[in-house]
Amino acid sequence: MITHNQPNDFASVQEVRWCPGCGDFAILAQIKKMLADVPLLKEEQVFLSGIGCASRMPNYLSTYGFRGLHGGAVSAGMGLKLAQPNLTVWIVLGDGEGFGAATQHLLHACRRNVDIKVLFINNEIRGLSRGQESATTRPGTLTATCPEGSSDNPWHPCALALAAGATFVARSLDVDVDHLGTILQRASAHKGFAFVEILQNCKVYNDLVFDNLATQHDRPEHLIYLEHGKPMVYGAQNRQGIKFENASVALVQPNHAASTAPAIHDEACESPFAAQMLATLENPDFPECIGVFRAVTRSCHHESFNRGTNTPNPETPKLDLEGPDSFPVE
Amino acid sequence: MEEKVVNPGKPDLGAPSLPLAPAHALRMTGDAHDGIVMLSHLFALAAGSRGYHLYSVPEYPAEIRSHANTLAGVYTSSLAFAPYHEPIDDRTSFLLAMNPAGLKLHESSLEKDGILLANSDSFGPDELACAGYLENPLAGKNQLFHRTISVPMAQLTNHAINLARAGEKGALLSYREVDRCRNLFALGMLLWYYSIPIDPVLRWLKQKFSINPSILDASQKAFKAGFIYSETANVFPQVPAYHPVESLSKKGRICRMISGNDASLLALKHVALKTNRPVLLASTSRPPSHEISSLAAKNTGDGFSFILADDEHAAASIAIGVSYGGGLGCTAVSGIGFPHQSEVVSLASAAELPLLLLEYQRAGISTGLPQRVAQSDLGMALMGRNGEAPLVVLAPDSPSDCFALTLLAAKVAMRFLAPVCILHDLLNSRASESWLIPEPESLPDFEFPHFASDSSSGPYECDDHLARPWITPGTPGKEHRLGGNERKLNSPQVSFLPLDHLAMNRHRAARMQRIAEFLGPLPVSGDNDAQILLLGWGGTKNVLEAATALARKNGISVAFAHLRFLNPLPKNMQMVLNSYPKVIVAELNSGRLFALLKEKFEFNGISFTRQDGLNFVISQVEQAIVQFARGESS
Repeated sequence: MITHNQPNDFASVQEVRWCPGCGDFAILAQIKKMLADVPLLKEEQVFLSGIGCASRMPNYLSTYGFRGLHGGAVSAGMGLKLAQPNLTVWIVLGDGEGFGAATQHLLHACRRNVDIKVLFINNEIRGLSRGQESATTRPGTLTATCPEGSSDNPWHPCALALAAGATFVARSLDVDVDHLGTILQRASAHKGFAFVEILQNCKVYNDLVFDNLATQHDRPEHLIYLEHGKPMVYGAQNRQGIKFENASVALVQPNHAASTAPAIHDEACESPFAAQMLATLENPDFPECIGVFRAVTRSCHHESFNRGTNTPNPETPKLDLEGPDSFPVE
Repeated sequence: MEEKVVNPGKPDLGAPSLPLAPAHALRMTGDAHDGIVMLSHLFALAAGSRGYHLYSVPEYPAEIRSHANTLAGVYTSSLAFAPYHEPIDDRTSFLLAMNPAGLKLHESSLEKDGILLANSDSFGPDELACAGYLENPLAGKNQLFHRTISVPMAQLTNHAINLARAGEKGALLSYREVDRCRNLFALGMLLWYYSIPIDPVLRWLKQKFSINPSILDASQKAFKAGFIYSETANVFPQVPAYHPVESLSKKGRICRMISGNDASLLALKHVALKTNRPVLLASTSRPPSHEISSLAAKNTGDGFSFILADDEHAAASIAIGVSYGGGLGCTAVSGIGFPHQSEVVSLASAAELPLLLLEYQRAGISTGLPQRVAQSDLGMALMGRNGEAPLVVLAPDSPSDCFALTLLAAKVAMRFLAPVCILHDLLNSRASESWLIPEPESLPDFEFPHFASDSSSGPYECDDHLARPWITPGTPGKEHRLGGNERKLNSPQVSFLPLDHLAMNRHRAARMQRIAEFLGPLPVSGDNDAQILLLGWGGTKNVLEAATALARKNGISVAFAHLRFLNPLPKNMQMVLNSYPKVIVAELNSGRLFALLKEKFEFNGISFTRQDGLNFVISQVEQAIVQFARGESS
């Protein structure tokens, strides 16, 4: 068995061609690091993608890779997992493709708990098509096809994945490499459908869209790092927090009064409702959340599918051509 | 070891080899609760065990649950005692009408001297009104057919079951349960008329209802009562019975009725067993491909599985994922679902992965007429992709040929790592025919050298078939990337250079030529020095073949050929077309194949088409042959 324990063991010979300053470089580096760290065989890691800037990812990794159709990677990954359940299947989607051509496939994969790991790289713009808006572009953004500013309401990727029944939903940042690395490892270890939204800066077409989260200094003021079993607090000395109140989220400034106690994050909660609320929080009115929104265990699609997809049963190798209604000619 | 393919086209799998007997069409029609499907199934089983070659076509109402006794709710099954079936609107020799609506819908098809057998108990005022009859068409001055046999089947069934059971202990059957046996009463009458032994039906009933002795007993009584009543009541006195030709070659062999869908599934299961690789069918609910989906879902196991995808693109993408993983990904698709899969076909062509499309053609554009026959998607199959993305296109010529052709298609897909489309039509997929079950050892194997994972070749280094090694994820040390981008020849390296693109286009075209060699030549039957060649494709074969025989009988020198391989065309296509002074290309569309041939080859021919959602009629095709032979059409 060949062992691969260095990130560079997972670099392909292909020259990496993203724009200088693209957040995808950091994501690629963390993927390679994760691959080196997890106790899995290199030949059993497969990256699938479609078309888009982020979809070049498989070309830059030395694992098995399949760069297919715009919108087709999720279903192809599902088929691959049915054919070879032992593989770890990664899907790389940008927001343009993920919430464009791939939306339907993605939502059905969520509900079926297909054992694939989706890296949803969200820069709120379609980069490869030169700055056109996507379904996550926030209102007012100037794009190639909305010169006066996008006016449509965007989707919150994690909230949508949760609504569709994803069993693992997390969010991280391209620039927060330690956090991203941890989340990738968590996704890798999850049994079932894992959806990881990675907020990524597009230097060319949507620069500074996550400016409020870009620097280590600013981040604590705007972000809650979700941790299972821990109170959801943020800001200097954790002086602020959130709690659930009347089916919505309210800000609190924790003191010793029970009414100001921040809510405790429960990623294993059966109901995705609280996680959905967390996934839709936005600056400036609320802190944004990164970390694992939800991690629950369900049987995976390929396990419950289990209707002969795997290799034939050697004990019954004969094909029954006759069926129940055959007859001898008299 | 590399296998030698001498003639992979069509092994002898029990396809009909009967001399053409005069066709005799029997039609059974009635309401949803008349049990027409079961009646037809059992009739075919009994007749088949006698050695008759049968061809059967069911027709279902478009509505799921129509109002009782309405025209919209009529179920019909048509059987022909010959290996072909003419369109139902043209000719029926024997019509069993279980209710007035069935009669109304099919009265025009019954020959003048044909027999009408009707369940008179269903011809009450309400039922007649539902069907649109002002007067009873079975008797009196409004009687439609002079050979009308009117039998109160419901009453007789009731008497047969309940009187025979009088005094017996045990639970009595409900009125409904008794009433439902009337189709077996009708079956008994039919078998008596056609002199078909009743034992196979009795055996089937015994097996089917063994857990419910009351139902078994009632079924047997009703069935036997129908048979005996025909004799004792002298029901068919003046009518000479039809005696179909028995096949001596079938004596002692095991037979079954097989539909095209059954045959396709059996073939896919065979591939899974032989290759020890997963075979998965992914499809949607779009008719008529939904029929094989439901069937497949009930027949999974031993490496074959089925998944209902949420749209056609997803279905094809799941399939290509299976193929990427080393299995055979298959998808079933119909009508406007087919274009949705076009880009996946293109990807399979670029990435060189096997993909099997079972395409079920239906009449009309857009939603069209999903329940009607047409060879409507040839153009889409041949041309419907961006760029020069070749798709192997095959078409079965009979229900049982779906078995042989699906095996062949899988073989091509896996041997050449190429997408293959099987163009089905309703004449094959939904229809059934008698099938001699092949010996297991006669079935093809699926051992190919490029299956080996220890191949020393790189992932895109081609062998002499111009096929790359099938290296799948999970193989240590062979990690590579592939996809839809253009690349360098014999390399996985992405390349946008013009010369590389040209080389790849030529490579894909050359591989199609290898596939043409693999598939073999087009056989032609009939006179060598014939003046006319009749050429067809798909499920029309038996009608065209019969028309050829009829024309020959009438003194026209005619040859016949039927294409099962539409892309690549057989290597001898040009030679065949040029061997006859005149060629008629017959197809159920606007002349797509004809246009294709005209574009590629020089020949003197005409296009003979039908586009109303029905199959050809033997006599009309024969007329066309005669007219063309005499120079009356051009």
